[in-house]
Order: sequence, then structure tokens, then C-alpha cells
Amino acid sequence: MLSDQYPGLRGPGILLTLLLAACGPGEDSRLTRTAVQASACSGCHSGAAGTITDLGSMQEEALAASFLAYRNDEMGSSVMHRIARGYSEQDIRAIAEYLARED
Amino acid sequence: MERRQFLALLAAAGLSPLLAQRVQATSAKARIITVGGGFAGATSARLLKQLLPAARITLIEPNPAYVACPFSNLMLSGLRSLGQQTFSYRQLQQEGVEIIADMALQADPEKKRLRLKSGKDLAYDRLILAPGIDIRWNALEGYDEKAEQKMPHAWKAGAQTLLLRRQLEAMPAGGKVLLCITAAPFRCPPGPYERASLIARYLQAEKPGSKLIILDSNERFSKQALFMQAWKTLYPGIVEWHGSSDDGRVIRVYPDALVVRTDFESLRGQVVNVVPPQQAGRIAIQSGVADETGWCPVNPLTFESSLAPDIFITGDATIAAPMPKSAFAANMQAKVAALQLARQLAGLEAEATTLANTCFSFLNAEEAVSVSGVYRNDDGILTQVEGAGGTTPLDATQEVRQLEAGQAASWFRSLTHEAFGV
Repeated sequence: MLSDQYPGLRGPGILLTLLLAACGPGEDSRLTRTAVQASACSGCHSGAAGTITDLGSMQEEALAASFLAYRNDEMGSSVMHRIARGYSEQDIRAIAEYLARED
Repeated sequence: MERRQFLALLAAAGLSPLLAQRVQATSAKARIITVGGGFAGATSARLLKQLLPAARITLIEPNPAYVACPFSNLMLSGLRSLGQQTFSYRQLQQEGVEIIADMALQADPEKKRLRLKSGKDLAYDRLILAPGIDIRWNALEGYDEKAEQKMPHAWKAGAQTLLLRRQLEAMPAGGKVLLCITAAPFRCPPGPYERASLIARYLQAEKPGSKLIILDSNERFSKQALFMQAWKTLYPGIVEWHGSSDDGRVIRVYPDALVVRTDFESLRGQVVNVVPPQQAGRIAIQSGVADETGWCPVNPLTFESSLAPDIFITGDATIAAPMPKSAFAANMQAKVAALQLARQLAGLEAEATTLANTCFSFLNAEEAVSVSGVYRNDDGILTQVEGAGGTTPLDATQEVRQLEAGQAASWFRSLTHEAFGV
């Protein structure tokens, strides 16, 4: 389910979260630039067990470290190496923080 | 949640009931209609229902189930069944998406109404069009609606894929298959070449002495070096490719005779597969959101139509180059559109983001190659992030290509899971 990727969406508390964010000084965390960026991840990483890593169980630090390692490995040529090079270090940290929090 | 409960929650959070009522009302009364139940449409309908639980989210789709195009070339090689490619809308319905089994004919952007084939006329606040592609009948001379029964395109998966499979099974050993490819842009840029690989695999195994002749209106194509290498090493003597500068451009077809004509030659095949000229799905043309190219220009920030207000367009129907017309891009665009639409309803400005695409193509039953891209949508234009993306290296080992076949299987599960909730 998409809610595996956006698990914060489940339950009545969620609407409150949305409104709090929408009404308050900040924004709904599910609608931020980082949330939109992170939505790319679930294209490959939302399936059940398989060759591709399930991000759901990963902590923020591990997510960021792994994503950054792909980005900084100049010799790497896997799909994830090729993708990671398109993101700044700042974006990667924000996406990792977002994915870990949403899980 | 009860309204009373909801207001109590807000009060507890220190929000004024008046403000809360206003925000709740905006979301509650919104009616968002998605047209088309493919990768783009199903993904956006599901995500919108999750983002805006109080809104009325409707999906209009005439077919009871969707047959996925990615992986459908494996059916031609006997490696996959139609059932494995078919996805129902049951889960969407369970999540509260209203499904209307009907064909959407035309949107009126001024009145914000959508006319259906049944005669129904629906009002919407926002419309998401995800109509995919339609074949441009007769754009290739001789290739009309009837021609698809003789020379299948199989560019919409399902009955057409099965027909092409049956034709391949029925052809004699030592026969000739013609694969005619229209000029870009078309759905799934590497698709024709994956198909060539998997048809070649079938011919090699089951129809000794047969040849596959590719008549291509293009000179360059997706993952070209990888496919060329695979044809040479995996299927020597079977695949013969003619690009546009090598008389590969088919200008006329004769479906009953199974003959095609190029500038200089006429060729006959036992099986003729035509990847024909295409355009955005009919509703986009009828609603005036496609331009003279037959495809739909969009605002790359939000995927709103450049030609009509309150209509978002996602997937193959869009002009979104350098993003390809792929299932992954459709899913990605659908998520961006849904999130930006929700921002809009919350009174927030659109924000630039980073988009990505990955497509896998099988070379045989166990090996696949991939192409990836990362894109930015700031400055009013979609651009590829330099230094990122690219294909599987040409010198990748067999192990790498096998690993990518495994990743392809995960990728397919992931995309269908997001779109259809299975």
C-alpha cells in the first residue's frame, strides 16, 4: 500500500496532523518539497521482499549513510549509484530523515 | 471521525473551530476525478484518497481490470501469463476510491464538467487525465483499425499481446518476423528492442532458422549499444536491424498480404508486428489539452495542463521529455501531481522537486539491463540532472545483468503495488 510509504496517513489523527500543519506556521509534512522528492523512492522500494532493499525498516542514519555511499562512489554503476548522483547531500539527508520519520 | 470529535481534537490543539471548519470544508467538498486506470491514474487516485480522506475521489475506467505493459514482452517468449499482468481495482474501491466503469469522452474546462459515454455528465473541482496512448490509425498508410488483427501492434497489452504470441507459435521454422518501429516519441522507448530480444529468444528455441528483421524509423534508440551487443552475442544470425538511414523506415503496410514497404523495398513476413504512430488518449484530444503534436503540454512543476485550467495530466499522454513515456515516469508524475494538487487545496504554492525514472528491459529469461534518469522541474522546464542517470555499463558481467533481472521483478511488484494496492 501507499500507506506503507506514507504510513502517517492512517487513522483519524492524521487529518489533525494535516490541519495542524496546514494551519500552523509550518506545512503538512506530507506535502513538503522533501515529501515530493521522497515519493520517487517508493517507485522501486514499496514492493514486498525482493532483490531491492525494503527501506521501511531502516533508521535515518543508515538510510542517509547508504544513500550517500552510493552518491559518492564514483566507480559504482548500479541503478542506485546512477540515481543517487542526481541528489545533493542536503537533499539526501532530508529524504532520509523524512523516510525514517514516516515509517 | 465524527465532526464533534474532530472539532474537539482541534480545540485541544488550540485551533479555532472557525478556521478548522473552513479547512475541513475545502477538503470535504472537493471532487477530484481521475480518468484512466493505468499506472498514472490508479496511483494518483489512491494517493489522493490518502492525502485527502474527506474528498470525493473518483476513477473513470471502462475496463474491469488493467493489463500492464511492462513485462508483457515476456509473454511473447512464453515466460509470463496474462493473469500475471492483470490488476483489478478492488483495492482502490476498498480504500474509498469511487470507481465508475465508463468511458470518459470529453471534459469542458470552462464549466468543469466531464461527459461520459453513458450520457452521464459529472462536475469536478479538479480533473486528472491519465489516458495513456491511442494509436493514430492510418498515420502509417494502410495501418487502420482492422489492420491490428493481421499485424498486431501489441502496444496496449492484453488481447493484442496474445494474438502476437499465437502468430509466433503458428509460424513455421525458417520463417521471417518483421518488427516495424515508428519514429519517436512513442510509449516505452526501449520497449520495441526488448521485444526484439524476447522474440529472438523464442525463435532461437522453437523456430530454428528463423529471422527477425527490425525496420526502424529511428537511427538511435534507448539502450542501443546494450541491445545491439545482446543481439550479437545471444542471438547471432537471428536479429537484423535496419535504422532509418539503412532503408528501415516503413512507409506503407499491406495487412492482408503481410507485406510492408520501405523507400526502396517490399518485404513479406510470416509475422508482422507494427509499433505504430501514437498520440495522447482520445479524451485529451477531445478536451483540447493536446497540442498539434498530439501530446499534452504541462506545467512541469505540477503537471497541470498548459492549455486548460484545473486539469492535471500525467503519464504517457504528456510532453515531459526528457522523462520517457514509461510506467515508472507515469507513477512518478502521478505522485507529484497528487501532492501538488493537495498543496493547492491547502492554499500552498507549488514547489520544485526532483523526479526520477528507472526502466528495465529483459534480454532473455534471466538477464536484464536498465536505464535511469534524474530530473529537476525548476525554472519552468524539466531537465535531466547532469552526471546522474545512464544505463547498465556495456561491459557489465552476466552476473550484473542477472542481478538487474532480479531488481526488475522487485520494480514491477513495487510499481503495481503502488498503483493497484496488490
